[in-house]
Amino acid sequence: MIFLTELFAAFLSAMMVENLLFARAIDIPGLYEKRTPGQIFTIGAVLMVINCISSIPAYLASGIFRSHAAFVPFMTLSFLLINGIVFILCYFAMQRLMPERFASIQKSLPFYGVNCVTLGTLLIAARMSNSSHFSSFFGYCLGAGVGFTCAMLVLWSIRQKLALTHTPKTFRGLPITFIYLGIVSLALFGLLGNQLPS
Amino acid sequence: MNLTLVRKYNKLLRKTDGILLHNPLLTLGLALPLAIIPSYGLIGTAAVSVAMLVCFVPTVFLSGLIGNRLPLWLRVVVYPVVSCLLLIPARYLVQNISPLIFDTIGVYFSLICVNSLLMYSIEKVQNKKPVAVLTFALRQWLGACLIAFLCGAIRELLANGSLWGFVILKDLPRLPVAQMALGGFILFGFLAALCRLIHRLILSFSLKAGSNLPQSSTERGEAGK
Repeated sequence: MIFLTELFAAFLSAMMVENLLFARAIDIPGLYEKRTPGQIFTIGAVLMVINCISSIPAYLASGIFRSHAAFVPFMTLSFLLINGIVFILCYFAMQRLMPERFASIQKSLPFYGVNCVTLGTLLIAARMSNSSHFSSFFGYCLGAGVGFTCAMLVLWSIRQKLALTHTPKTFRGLPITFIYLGIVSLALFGLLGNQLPS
Repeated sequence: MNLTLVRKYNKLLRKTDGILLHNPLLTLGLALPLAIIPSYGLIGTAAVSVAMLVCFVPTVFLSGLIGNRLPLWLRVVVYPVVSCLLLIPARYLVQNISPLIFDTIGVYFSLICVNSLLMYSIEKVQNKKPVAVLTFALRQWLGACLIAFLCGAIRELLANGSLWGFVILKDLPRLPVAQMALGGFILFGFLAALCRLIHRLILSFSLKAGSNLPQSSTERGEAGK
């Protein structure tokens, strides 16, 4: 029961209150490109799978870093290597098991496998999970992936709504998207509180 | 119509490609995690800029040298690892700017090695010559730093009334929200719109000024034909 409670709390926290895009401004390459909801769900699924699988070795590695402070400067490198290896495994597994889906996202898949979201999630989860319970670590990684997918869907809906409104020429495209992101972020800061994320 | 001024302006833009034209932050929306959160003030921006110079420029140069010899799935792993290795010496350089800087910028320092600007740049320089690659990397870095410094200065002034920790505006009301992610997003939105507006104004001014000038002999000749 404690396992589930911790997992759920970390999941909700990562998904809503500490959403990677709105609260921490963490992005992926090509975030502002036009995409269909189907493509967004595919990207989200890739991010979630890589986050969840990486969380297992990363949790074990973070235990070593917690007990040996001298190795802390190498934490980023070790997490990046874990992320890279997991991505390569997923890449070839997808190529073999889902060839049609793989062919449709082959060129962009590598950029969704290793990016700020995947590495940032592991680093933040390692910093936050002081209780050294795997459930909170895994819950955070899962929640971050789901939260980022939701954020991309919000971004897509923003674009849909803005396409139907009259926006001044100078604000069209990226400027108005930034301002909209800022306003959504303001709404979430009501839950997070007045503090700078680190 | 005399288009000399417009041509001159376009020439200037082409020369500053990556800095004024196609700025990675304002035009492409790249490297946002590094620009929005650590640029809450000038110290954080300076730390990230120094680390970017140490990690980003050599990695992009290396990717230009290696070119297409590595497949894409390996490129996205190898270059971030190279960049991450360069973060270790960068850490010691950044410590000189402020000893407490890592407490403030936190994970964002580590995210330098996988930021979207790096991923974009390593793909852009695949078929370029080494000098062109180096110039491209430096331009992208300079363009990102220029906007990040501008943003950092504005946010620090608004939130604390200070620049690089020195209080400048004592009696003005503070706006702490400027240092939050939302402040960064909104400021970037307005900066991007402002740059676009300035570009449009310069173009329209150049066209108007050009229409009042006497036509050059070549143009008159062309018009005659």
